[in-house]
Amino acid sequence: MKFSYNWLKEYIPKLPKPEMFREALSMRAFEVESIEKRSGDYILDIKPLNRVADTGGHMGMAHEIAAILNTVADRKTESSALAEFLKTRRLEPRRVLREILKNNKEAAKKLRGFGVVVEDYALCPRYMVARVDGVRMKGSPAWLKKHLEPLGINSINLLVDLANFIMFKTGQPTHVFDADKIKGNKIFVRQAKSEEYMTTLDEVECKLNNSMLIIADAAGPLAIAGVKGGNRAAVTNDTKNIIIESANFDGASVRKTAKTLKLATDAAQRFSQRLDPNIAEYAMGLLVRWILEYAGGKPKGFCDMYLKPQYPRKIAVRLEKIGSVLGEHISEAQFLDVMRRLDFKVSAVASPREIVVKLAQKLLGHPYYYGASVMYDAPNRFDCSSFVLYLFRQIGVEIPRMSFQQYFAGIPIADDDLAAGDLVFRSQKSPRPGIAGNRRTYGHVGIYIGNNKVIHAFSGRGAVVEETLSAFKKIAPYKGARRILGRENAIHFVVEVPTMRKDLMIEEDIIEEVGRIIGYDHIAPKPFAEAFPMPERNDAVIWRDKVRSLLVAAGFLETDSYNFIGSEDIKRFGGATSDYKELLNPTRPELAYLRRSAVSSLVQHIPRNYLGHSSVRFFEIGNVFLKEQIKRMSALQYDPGDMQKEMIAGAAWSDARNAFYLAKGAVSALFESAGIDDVWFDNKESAFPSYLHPYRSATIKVGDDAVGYIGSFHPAVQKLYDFKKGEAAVFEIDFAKFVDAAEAEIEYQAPSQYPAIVRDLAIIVPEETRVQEVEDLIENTAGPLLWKTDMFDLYEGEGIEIGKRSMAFHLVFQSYERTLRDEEVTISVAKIIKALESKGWEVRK
Amino acid sequence: MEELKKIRKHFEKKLKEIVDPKVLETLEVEYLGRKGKLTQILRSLKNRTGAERRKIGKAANELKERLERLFAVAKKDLETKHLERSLREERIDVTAPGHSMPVGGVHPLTKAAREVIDIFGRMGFAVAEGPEAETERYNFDALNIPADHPAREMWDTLWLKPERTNPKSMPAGLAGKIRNPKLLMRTHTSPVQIRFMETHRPPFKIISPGRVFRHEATDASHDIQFWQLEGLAIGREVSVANLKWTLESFFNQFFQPKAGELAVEIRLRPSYFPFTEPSFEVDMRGGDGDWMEIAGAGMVHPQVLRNCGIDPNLWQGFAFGMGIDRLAMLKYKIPDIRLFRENDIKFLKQFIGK
Repeated sequence: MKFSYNWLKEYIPKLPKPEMFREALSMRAFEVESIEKRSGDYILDIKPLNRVADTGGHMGMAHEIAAILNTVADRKTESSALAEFLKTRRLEPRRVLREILKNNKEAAKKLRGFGVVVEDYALCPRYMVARVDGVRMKGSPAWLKKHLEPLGINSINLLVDLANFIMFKTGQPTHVFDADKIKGNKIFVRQAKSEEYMTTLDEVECKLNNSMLIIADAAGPLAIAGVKGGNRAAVTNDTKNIIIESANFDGASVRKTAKTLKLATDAAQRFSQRLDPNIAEYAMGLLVRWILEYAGGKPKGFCDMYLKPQYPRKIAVRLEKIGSVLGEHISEAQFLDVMRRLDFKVSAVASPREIVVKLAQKLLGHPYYYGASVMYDAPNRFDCSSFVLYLFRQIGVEIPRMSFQQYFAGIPIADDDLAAGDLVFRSQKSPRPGIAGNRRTYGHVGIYIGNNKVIHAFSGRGAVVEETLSAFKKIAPYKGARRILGRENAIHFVVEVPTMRKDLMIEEDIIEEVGRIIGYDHIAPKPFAEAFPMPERNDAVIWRDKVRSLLVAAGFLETDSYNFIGSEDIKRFGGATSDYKELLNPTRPELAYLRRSAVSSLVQHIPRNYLGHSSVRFFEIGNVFLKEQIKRMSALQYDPGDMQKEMIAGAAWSDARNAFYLAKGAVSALFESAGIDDVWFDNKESAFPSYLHPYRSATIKVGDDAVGYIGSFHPAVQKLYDFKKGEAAVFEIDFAKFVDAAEAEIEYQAPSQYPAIVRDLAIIVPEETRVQEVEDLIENTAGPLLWKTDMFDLYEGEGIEIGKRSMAFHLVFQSYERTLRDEEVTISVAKIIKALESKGWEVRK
Repeated sequence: MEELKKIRKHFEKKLKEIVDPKVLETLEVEYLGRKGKLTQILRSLKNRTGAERRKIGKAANELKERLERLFAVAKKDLETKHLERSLREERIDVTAPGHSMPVGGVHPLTKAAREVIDIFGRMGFAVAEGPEAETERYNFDALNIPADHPAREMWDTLWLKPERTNPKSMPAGLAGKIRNPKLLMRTHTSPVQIRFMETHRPPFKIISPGRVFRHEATDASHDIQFWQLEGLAIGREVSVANLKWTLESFFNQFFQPKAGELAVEIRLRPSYFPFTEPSFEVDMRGGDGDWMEIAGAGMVHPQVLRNCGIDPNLWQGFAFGMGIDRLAMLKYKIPDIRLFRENDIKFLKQFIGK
């Protein structure tokens, strides 16, 4: 937001040059994004974040700067305008306007013959209009233009300029209608109808819909609430009579409308951050006063639709909590000084529980009224929860309105621990229409006052009454006790914050005010004073690092890829987009779906990299997303984490045709190094992913469990990815299954004490015969004495008949019980040879 | 006796001439072998008479010893020479390249993340993890960012298409009444903290490193996917002072100023996040360099604790978040965040072993 240095200086005459307080502002309140010199002024671009409500105008910003620079104490450095602003800020709502217009009784009267209808106060908490007849339009005075120009606001006409001036001064946008162009004698604040249209001041036609709030007359829309005025009732140089609007609109609604219509106006920017309905009154007062002064005319009074006036919030603050959160002792004097600089009223409360109890006792006998308003009915009449809410509000402690909410806001305590000031709950005795579930179960609340006594606003007796706890429990099922006041009877302060400070709700908010105004640089870094338990070990982190080390040792480079894939790549991988979880708002079409395989990311890195290398190897440990897993969940237990699967993926490319064995070697080493010895490669599976070579692929299994796959990349798919040469092989292993297998309990097995006997066998088999098949046959016929089978040679070529290949194995025989005799090994080998030969394979002897 | 002299003379002469160890062996056979010249003389002694036999025998045995000694010396000498020669013949060009072995390496972000995990591990922080696709509740609502809150716009979100649920799978009476939760790619790793707090009792200290996602226009410092590091410490009296100590210790360990260089300094500026109160921007300055914004932090908002079933009257703590990509960019002087996910070998290989 833009602020003029000269303008700020009007409120703080001793304001130093911007570069002098830029740092202080950045360190204590807001980031100053830029300072720009413009026509004898400096324009500061300040980011007020969540504080637009109080610093969206020059006046509030000046007050903030004054508080930071601590000029508030020095009345001479503070202008009378700023003093007046602070004074009005302290006034009760509905008194502000009268105060500002106290010299003009006509203006402060009720407007006759003109009405406002607010359809939904949730969307428009406050709507004020004032009427002035017989204004004289003329050019804006030089001072007015001089204030607006540096902020980039062009002069339109006197009235519009004044309205803009008020917005930049107070932060509250206002609007001026030409009263004679309004049809009928009513203004409606209502939702637009679908297919309703409005043309804006700058002649843009907007199509409205029923999610948008508009200001309308009998003939249709006059303005889009909080966003932009329409041209039908715009003020012109011929305007005589005017209706001035100053209102408060719901932030979310304005933000949504401005976004839909793409109208990022100054007004929308402010309203969408939620403004204070009381500042609307201040702005209205000032605008009427200035219009009467500069454009003349006769005030006809005002109309104020303000159903739920907002009052300053009381917040309980404990000094020791401030010290504990900041980690630095804050003295009472320091705290009170900060509150003074911020112009917050502070009172001290010695024992909050006692005050609450005493107040409750004082209110005994007040009538019960279901749905009593805390704002209007208290302290005259109460229902059970408004009674409790009212009590706590008096000591600055805010709790929710309804009893079941109060139940959940409190800390559960046992009846044995009950202390005066705690709350007790029971179910509602007689059902009320529309009240069910928790609302009914925890439908009644009372306050415990010690000595086994409870005070509560009780419908059954029509008043605030005192009873014993056991009597309280008898009426309906007792639901237990809750504690609102966490720390016993500590002394605390009650800070009263003006309604403009919409950002201040709880104790921690006040702690932030203290911390930032004193300065976080005054907090010295300190190591933890308390003991923490030993941090839990994260096995996934450890295993991921082990896997990385092993694959790195095998020559693989780790990549980091996007989790996404595009429809083009899905097609290349032989998938259907319907199987992929889709993004609602992708940034690029090639990253529009969640990937189902990390290999789909890895292979894309190969063609970009292989030039000049004889082999490249990549791996990645990342997540894939299996959409179907989410469909299986019921709507009530819905965890998108269930569709996520972590994978160890690798891709090896080689300019020779040996990529599969490169990859397989790495995978075998990976499992072996992790101590998983029952891993094997199963080629029986018929349905390999279609991007794999059907005759160069295998399922990776540990025991009977499939944990991943390995395979050469399908030549047709490889072609699509523009690998001109060589072969790529890929693998993907389920990380969780890998870790499970690796973590299977290690139990030491002593090596056999007896010597082993090794026999070698060479077998000639047809080339399509798999090593696994031969090994299986050997192991299944050898009997228990065969300890292990190691293939040490696989050969085809010279000396071997074409279409056949030779496999050679070491057969290691060993026993745990005794030294083996040569003869028994010979018998076993003979059995193996017989079995091999029965397959028609030739065993070389 | 003459014969012995002759043998001696011939043997010594021949021994001097020999350069080939094989010839040496023949010489040994010729004189000292079973049928060798000297052996034959010794054998023929039995035909001689006593005195002669003693005299010649003594001389022959002396000669045998002498020849054997000479032979051993010559043999050793020859072997040494021969070994030297054959070693010279085996000479290779050691400047020629070795057999090519593929060299692998971890990604620079892994390297940075490992260091982060190690440093925080030494400070007693455990590592917590969670899903990358999340619900609106975990990513926003539980963090005190309701749907219509302007703060939602601080995180440009990649949303997932809503899933249609079969009405039959819904509990009776709820079909059509409950909408599936909105799914998204997590915009920060804060949901991990929420999930952790829901399932653990304080006190605890955790970090949650992981991939996060934003709907953003990419440039040298923005990407739609990157790594984030968040930290959370909840205890009885965890404070802003503890936060400052933790972050300052971390940055000094991570960036490791060299001896003589100034330590890394941090400072806190007020900021606003819905899930912390107070909230800070964290600036960092190495040595006498300029301040730069490096992290967001704050004291966990009591409502967030309450949302996770932790009593804010008893517990308080801090949270912080920063980009691991950015940490790595600063540490390794990488100018463009997009390089991390381009996966160019020339880029990746630079971090091997570092």
